[in-house]
Amino acid sequence: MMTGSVKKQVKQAVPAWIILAAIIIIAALLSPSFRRIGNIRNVITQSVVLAVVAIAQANVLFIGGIDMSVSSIISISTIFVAMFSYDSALGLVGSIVLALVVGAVTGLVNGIGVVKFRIPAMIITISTQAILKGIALILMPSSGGRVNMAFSSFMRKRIGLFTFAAIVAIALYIIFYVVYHYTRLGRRIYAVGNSELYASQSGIPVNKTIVVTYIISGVIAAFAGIILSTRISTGNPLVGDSYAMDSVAAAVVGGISMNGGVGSVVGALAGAVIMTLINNVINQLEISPYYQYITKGLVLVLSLLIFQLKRRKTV
Amino acid sequence: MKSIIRKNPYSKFPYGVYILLIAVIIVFFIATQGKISPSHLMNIVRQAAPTGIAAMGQTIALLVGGLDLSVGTTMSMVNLISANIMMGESANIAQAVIVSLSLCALIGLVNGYIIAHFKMQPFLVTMAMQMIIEGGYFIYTKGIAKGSVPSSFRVISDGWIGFLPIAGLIWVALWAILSFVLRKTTYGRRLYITGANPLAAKLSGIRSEAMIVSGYLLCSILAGIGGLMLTAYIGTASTGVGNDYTLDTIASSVIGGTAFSGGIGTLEGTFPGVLIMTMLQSLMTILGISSAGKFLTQGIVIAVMVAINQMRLRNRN
Repeated sequence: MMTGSVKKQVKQAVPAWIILAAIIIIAALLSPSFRRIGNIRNVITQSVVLAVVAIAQANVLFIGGIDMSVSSIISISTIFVAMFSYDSALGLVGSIVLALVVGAVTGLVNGIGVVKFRIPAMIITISTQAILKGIALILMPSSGGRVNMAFSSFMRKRIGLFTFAAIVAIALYIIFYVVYHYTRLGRRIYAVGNSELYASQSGIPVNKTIVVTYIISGVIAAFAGIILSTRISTGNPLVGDSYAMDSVAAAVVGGISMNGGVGSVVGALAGAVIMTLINNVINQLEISPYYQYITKGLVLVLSLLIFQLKRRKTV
Repeated sequence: MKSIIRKNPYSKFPYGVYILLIAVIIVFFIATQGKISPSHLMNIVRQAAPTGIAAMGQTIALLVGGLDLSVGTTMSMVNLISANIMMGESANIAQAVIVSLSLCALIGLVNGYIIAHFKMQPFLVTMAMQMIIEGGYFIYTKGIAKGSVPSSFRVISDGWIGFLPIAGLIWVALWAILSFVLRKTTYGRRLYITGANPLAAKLSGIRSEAMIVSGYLLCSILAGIGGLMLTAYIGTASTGVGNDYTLDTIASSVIGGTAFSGGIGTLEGTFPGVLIMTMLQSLMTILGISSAGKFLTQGIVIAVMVAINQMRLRNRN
């Protein structure tokens, strides 16, 4: 039972799922090793973190913003979990709460910067990215610490094809699918992304919505960092660096417009899996790994062109 | 022309950032307990030249209402290709420069054409270009950076004329030329108008698409020159050596008052912007604060300066 507007937004994700299906079919036909259960399990495990960050990024892209600070939030979250979850008074729960709070505070700073000081989203989030990276490097100059063993083996436990971390990611997608498409907050986010002026004229508290959106992104990014820490079992001040750009690419490949108000998290999931799959397929087909960057770039260009042509037609 | 300049406050001389630069120099002086000499400052200018030249390109991309994320990888590419062609021979310098800059021009044209013609987001187009360039040079070098730089080429970074570094002179000369073009020629004013409002520019008879393409073309070529300066500075081929410069160039431009919305900003602001970023970095090195301090100060300086610039813009309107 989809309402008209939900259908319209979810439709944006269709090209991404077609590209994903095409990649999977071609790779499965060409490479027997790709078809192995173990490899499919690997792809799912490797996609988890990017998939979760892609929600955070999609979230701010919906309101026409961008969040470059997700990378540093991820890094600093792995550090908190690695520093405090193993043996400290704070314990596992304390370290997770600390990471989530830092994510929320970063989001709050980003949101206030955008709303109160009118700093472009890209600039304020680059600033908070740099500041958090500095703090992360002070806390832990190089990879180190220990993640609570019970926690990390729990998250890595396999249930069929999925690890527990993957199930958490899927649960997040279901939650945010409902939030964006069936709640007041979700409708407000899309309305603000479409036009701040019209949104405020129809009585939506625009500034509050923007700040809340950035806070949500910060918290989800921290979540991604916590999941990543269970995979690498240590903290690392630089481990999150590539996720800022990759999450934007994943969201955009998934049909989410950078102008705001267009797209669905359903697409972000496909985008994140596509971006992870490219590396895997190139490995499995025994192509030189140097081709993965160019392939990623070309996939990005291709999906941009598809959306651009589609949107031109509808306008 | 003069009346247009007076009526257009968006290319006004940015005094604020020079005050910050003087403050940073004073802090530098106090923190090093007065050990800093003019030659030390000139050395900082020498180090800053590659960033400075690339940052002027980034400023121009921002002025036409865009952004170029491929600046850093373009510099890396130029480093790998030019060092590989030169192979330590002075005779190959001309060839290396021509090949590198032609490739840069091609990158700029493609960026500009796609952005202007298909009305695509500059962020995404240049991000995809960044991935493609990175992949391209990985395929070209097969992961192993080869090549060396003859000392006759390194002069453009190592050489001194009196107490002035040649690198700094090249930087200032390019700045003077570009500043003249942006401020005193119709082309320059059209660039500003296109950035401020492409539709209005088009309606008043400016070929705004061509202006945008030319902006990205200039940006990539300046990134290429910055890459050549960087190659002369480090004297070797090194994979990914320029990649961090993208954010540095954006940060320097916005500290200097260039706005993300297009049509607002000056090269006169970018120059001290680059110096401020470089001085803060070398201050951290001198004080023995690790890279953590560099990121902290960078973040704070960018946020505060842009907040101030935005407030001033709002008051002006």
